[in-house]
Amino acid sequence: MNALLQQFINESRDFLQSISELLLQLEQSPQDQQIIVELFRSVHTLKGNSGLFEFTAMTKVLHAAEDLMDKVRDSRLAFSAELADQLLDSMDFVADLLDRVAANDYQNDAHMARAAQEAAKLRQFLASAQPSTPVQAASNNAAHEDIAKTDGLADFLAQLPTLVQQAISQFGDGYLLVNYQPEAECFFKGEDPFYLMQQLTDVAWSAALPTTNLVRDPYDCYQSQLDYLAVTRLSMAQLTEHFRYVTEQVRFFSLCPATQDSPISQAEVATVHNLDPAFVEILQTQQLILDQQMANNGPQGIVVAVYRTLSALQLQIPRQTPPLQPDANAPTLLAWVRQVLAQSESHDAVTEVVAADIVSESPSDIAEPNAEHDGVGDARFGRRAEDSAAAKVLKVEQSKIDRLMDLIGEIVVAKNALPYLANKAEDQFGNREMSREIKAQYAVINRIVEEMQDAIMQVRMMPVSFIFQRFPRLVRDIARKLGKEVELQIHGEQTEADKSIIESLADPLIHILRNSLDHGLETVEEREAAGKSASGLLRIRASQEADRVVIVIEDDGRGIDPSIIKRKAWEKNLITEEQLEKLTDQEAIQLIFAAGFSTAAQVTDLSGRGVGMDVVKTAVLRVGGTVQLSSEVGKGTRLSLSLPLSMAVTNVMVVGSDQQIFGIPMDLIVETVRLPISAVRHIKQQMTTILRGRIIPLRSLNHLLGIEKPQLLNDEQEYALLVVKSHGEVLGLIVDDFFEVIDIILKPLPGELGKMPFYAGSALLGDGSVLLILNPQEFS
Amino acid sequence: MSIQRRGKVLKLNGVIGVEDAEIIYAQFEQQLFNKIDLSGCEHLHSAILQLIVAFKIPIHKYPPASTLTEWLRSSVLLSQSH
Repeated sequence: MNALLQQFINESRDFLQSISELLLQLEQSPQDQQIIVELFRSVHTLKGNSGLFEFTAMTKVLHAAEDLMDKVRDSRLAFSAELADQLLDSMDFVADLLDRVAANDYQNDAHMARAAQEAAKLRQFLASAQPSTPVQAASNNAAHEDIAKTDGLADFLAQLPTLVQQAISQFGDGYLLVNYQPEAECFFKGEDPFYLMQQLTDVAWSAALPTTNLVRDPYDCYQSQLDYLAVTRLSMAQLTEHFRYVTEQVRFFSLCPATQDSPISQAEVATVHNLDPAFVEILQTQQLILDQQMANNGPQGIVVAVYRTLSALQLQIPRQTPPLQPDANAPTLLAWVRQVLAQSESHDAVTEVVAADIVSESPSDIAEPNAEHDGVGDARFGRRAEDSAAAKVLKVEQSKIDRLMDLIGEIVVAKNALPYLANKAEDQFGNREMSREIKAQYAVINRIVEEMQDAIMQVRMMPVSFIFQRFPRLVRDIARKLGKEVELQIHGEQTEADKSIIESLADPLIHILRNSLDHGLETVEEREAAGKSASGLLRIRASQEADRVVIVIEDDGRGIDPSIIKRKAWEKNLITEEQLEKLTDQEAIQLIFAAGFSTAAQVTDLSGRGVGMDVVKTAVLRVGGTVQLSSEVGKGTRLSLSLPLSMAVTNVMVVGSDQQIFGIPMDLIVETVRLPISAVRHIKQQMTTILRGRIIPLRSLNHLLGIEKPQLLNDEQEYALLVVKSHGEVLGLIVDDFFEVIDIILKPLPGELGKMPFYAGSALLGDGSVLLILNPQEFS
Repeated sequence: MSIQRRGKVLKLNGVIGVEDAEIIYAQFEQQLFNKIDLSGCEHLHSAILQLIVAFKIPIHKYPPASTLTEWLRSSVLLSQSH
């Protein structure tokens, strides 16, 4: 099963669940407009989604439900318990169809009849809805309303342009004029009126007219503003069938010259309009069931079921038919069905099809002896949405997962207390046996806890495709707007990382793509002039390297010119004149990450206003990532993001200073060295040293923390020097001593303490003490 | 590529869907093209037809499909008579 379908099934189950909940809520407070709107939206989305697949039966029922909710929303129909019952029943039917889809057992045609029946039941409620108020009608376009008032062809023609009248007047007897006025919002329903019109056969003349002579300002591409006209030789029944989904938006006029002034008689229109082939099919099915019941003297329950089906259909059938008698027996029902069918034009066409359908089903199936049988197929479809088979995928709120992860984090820390305890047993109580047993137990707990930690990480992992999947559309749209041609290549979508990391990446990546498209890639003309292929290449590659996710975004555009960057940065006072001379090309292009930097001569709505790249860098740094940029003029730009797989566990080195311990994130530590006191030089007030031919500024941790004590030296008169990365520079930090490297769960400091940038957070150690984690970015 | 611009001619190829309407409209508004070539076009969504009719965009070449061409010719003729 493809991913899209799987997603549709999961989402639809959620929607059905919320629809039934909302319906129940609405029964409690029928006036709550918010619930009604929410309900409409759910049904609408569900219908729209089902339209993506060939599930016509499902769409049909949902369409009817949507129309019904639309009326309720506009207060043209009062919400009632009966209406809720019917909606719930229809949703159960949809849920059943969905289960069939999930079980790969869905056959659209097999469910069409039942779908029509459900839709008919829903539309039955529509009949009692009030027509839209004059105010609402007036807001529709004027032409639409004018036509609604008139029935005659002559009146209709009169308001058309002369050219159209002339064109139509050539046709006479045997031709029908079709006028399709799609509703303005029809594109959002996935409709394509032009396509529907083009599918008409036997067309002698056709045209599309603007609904008004004026182009609306501002012009909205997504509002339908055309009326479609066609002259065809097709029969009324064929046309009704063709436009069955949009019946209320289509009008037919007979071009027969003798009766040109009167449109087709109301009764005829009604018959054709209402006797949808699906109805005919249902009627014929009922007829066959009755025939069989009478032939085999089958159970009376069947007659009751048929009566219910027919009475549900009754309202959709022309008024001339005699009403059904509630105490009808099989022969009277049969007679009624025959009478209705006799009025239908499209009768013969479908008889054979239906007969074949029925025969193929075993008769015992139809005549299932079931006294409480209250509707054909109800045993199958009567299930409530709540009973649907338990889904394999469990949706859990993120907060619950986070809590579980916190608890696992605590147990990781708690288990670290066991080695302390073992040592205590040995040293303090002299019980070596006990110590060994504690250590053995510790090994077991440790293994389980590590697996737990791994498992919870797996839960939070998600593939980068989660954000990558929207790129093709984004790139395509932007490229079109800019009139550029771009080929997007995406590799490694299956690479996984922690959910929070993935989510924090979405915006920066979009910024980067926009920048590449807007500033990086050239237009077709520029590319051709530069001897490149007409379409630009944009490549996004994700891969896992050790415990980091690397995402590389490359383009083969014009690249970044360091001299332009330097000049701009200088003009904007981002660098001094001295720096302007000193900066290497590689350093210069990094300036695009500086806040308030934008080289685009013209600010476009696409790449923002030069806030893009520094936002990108900040977002990546926040989750512990790094950004590398390289570019070659005329060849392209390459941006590489390296991110941790997960933020939950941080690897820190414990260092000591003035008898306190502190943690420093390992990924920022370059090396640890023992530095002889003689190697420390003083330049003005600043301590420095030369390490491997490079001048490294030195800082004393005591001094940074405001402790008035010199750092301790070891017996060989050496300092403990920690070389760390800080803002891309290397810095030496003198501490008293180094201790072990441990895994900790980094917790941000609460409240006011969180505003101290010097500390990245705190962590709990195995012996219950608190370790403060320093933030080397703040050392310089 | 279903939409290509060569000089001042916008060439539409294959099936042009509703999502292209905004793009074509944006390019038309910026006067990036002044006529369209439909010789490679199989189907236009209603929203695109609407653009052509509403803004009377000149058609440089008609599509090969006769039904589509019929519709376009008559609709364009009517829109120009307005």
